[in-house]
Amino acid sequence: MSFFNRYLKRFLLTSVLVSNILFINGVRGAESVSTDNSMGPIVVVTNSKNTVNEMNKKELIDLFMGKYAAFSNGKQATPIDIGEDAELKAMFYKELVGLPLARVNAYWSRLKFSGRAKPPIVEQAIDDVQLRLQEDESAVAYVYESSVTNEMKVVYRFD
Amino acid sequence: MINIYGLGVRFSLFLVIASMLVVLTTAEFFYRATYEHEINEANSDIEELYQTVAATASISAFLEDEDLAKEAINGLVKSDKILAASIKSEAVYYQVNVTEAINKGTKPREFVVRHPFIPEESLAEVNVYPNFDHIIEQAEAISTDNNYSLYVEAIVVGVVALIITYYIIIAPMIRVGRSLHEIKPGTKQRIDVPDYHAKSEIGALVRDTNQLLNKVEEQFTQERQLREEIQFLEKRFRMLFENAKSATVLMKKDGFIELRNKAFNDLTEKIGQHDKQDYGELLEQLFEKPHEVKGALTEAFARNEFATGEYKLKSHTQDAVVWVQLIASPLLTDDGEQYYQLTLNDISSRKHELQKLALQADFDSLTGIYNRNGGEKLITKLVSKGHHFALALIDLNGFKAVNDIYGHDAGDEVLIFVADQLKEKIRKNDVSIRWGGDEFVLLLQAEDEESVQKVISKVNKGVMQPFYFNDNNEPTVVSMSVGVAFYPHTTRDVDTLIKLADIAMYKAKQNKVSAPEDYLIFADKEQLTAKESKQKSEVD
Repeated sequence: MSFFNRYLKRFLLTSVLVSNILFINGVRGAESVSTDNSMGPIVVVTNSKNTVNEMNKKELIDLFMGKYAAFSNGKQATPIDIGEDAELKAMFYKELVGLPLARVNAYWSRLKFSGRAKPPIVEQAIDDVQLRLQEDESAVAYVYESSVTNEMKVVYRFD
Repeated sequence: MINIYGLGVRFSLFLVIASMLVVLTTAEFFYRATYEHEINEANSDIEELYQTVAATASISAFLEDEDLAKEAINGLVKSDKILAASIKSEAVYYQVNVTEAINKGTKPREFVVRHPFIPEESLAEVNVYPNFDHIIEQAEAISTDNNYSLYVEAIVVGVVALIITYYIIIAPMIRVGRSLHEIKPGTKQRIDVPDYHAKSEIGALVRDTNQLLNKVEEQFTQERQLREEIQFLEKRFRMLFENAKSATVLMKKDGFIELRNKAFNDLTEKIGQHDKQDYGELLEQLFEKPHEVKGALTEAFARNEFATGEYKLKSHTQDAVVWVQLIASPLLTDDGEQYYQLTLNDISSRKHELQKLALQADFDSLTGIYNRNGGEKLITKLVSKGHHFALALIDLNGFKAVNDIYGHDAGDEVLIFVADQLKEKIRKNDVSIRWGGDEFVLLLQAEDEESVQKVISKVNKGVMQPFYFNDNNEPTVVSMSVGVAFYPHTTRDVDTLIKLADIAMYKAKQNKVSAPEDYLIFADKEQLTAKESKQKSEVD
């Protein structure tokens, strides 16, 4: 009977929906990250030679979430993730897109198969990030304000 | 077992038909409701479906990634609830089936695709066209299912109702009916109240029926008693009627006899009448003088009285002379029918006695002619009728001698002889009377002396004939002296008339030796004494 099929479908749909919602929202509950820690606030930095002096949040989202790989002046931009400092990474994404790391990871794994977008390049430690910023003019990375060096230019700060 | 005209079937049929009608009338409504419901369902389903691809759509719009967009849209169109879908942003446009949907005039559901990371920013629009054909199909299928299930339900309800009514109403009613069939009215038999129906309408019906049966029994008993009484009475009445000595009939106006008793039959038999149902109006065929009877009766009836009279019946046998006393009374039944009750008492023997008595009174037993009493009656009758006649008083001469010599028997013989002569010689309308002893009177229809003389001479010749007694060779001769007076010529007074005739006769007697041929003398008026003439004048 079509009756039965319909209800079965409904049930399945509903369960999918419910699990989605759980998935999307349920993880939000695990926010333990705060910018207010000993390492100080996070800033977004580029190579000091980079002509871009300032970036806005939207540009950062587009860059770090894989929409564009270029600065507003058209030059190539390479977003850098930090591998080892999960806390920093989590804090950054929380500030940027308001999502926990798990969600961000899920976003990328979703795009791994079907999307053309590429996730940021991962440098393991803060030193590696610093090195990368020195060597690569297209690099854009996030660091604690306390880790900012002369070779870096702060283009965005989270207030 | 099941009576198709029975209550149960009727009831169930009505129930089923009513349910069917309800289904029929509500089918459209159900369809509408189902359709609405399905549309709502579809809408919410579409929303849900969209939610499943919303993330992909959002990411595709953010990344301007056509593959992702396709994935999202194709995902939507896969559902048979969705006919067409499209995604449109500044960078990406992808659609499936939209032209078809627009051709069908389907209105799309519009969803705003938000930025995945900046929710307040909208990046694209997704239009989802619901597959109305499918929805309608669904709705129809569902409402058809609903209707079918309702029909089935109606039939089931009907069948259940039939079973229930059968077991609760019909079966007990049939049982009651059957036992009612077996009951003989007027007996002690009653119907049992069916089990579990003591307080139901059927129970009440049974009790009412039993009460009716009680009444019927009562009535029957009464009727029976009444019938017995009536039969008893009827028997008695019949006995009374049948054995009554008076012939009694109850007859209709036209003469048809409704009831008759044995006495009546005996009476008709006695006069040799055939056994008939009808002897004419008022039994006229039975009577010798029907007109007289009818006249008397109708006159009495007109006066509203009963009629009574003595009549002679018409006899068909020689020797039966039957006189009856007839008592007739009109009867009017309750419904206005006219009957007559006629009672005929046979009074023949009494009549006969009376006649005999009358004969003895009016006739002379020796000679058979009128005696003085009869004669006087006759004279009175003639006078009252205004007849004119001559009275001849005859006295025999020589009779005493015969009596003295030969004895009374001889005298009797002489008297008989004379009377015979008188009878013989007078005319048809004349009358002879033995006035007493050897005196005779003739009443002659004559006004003049001549015709009187004619008759008297004839008589005289006869009387003067000599005749012989049985043992006597001597002829005996008697002569007569006659005095005649005319009524009313001589006198109007009967006593005077006789007196005058007597005087005239005496005259003739005186002459019998000297002038035997003057044996007949006519009376004179002058012969009356003064006293008599005074009487006469009083009479006149």
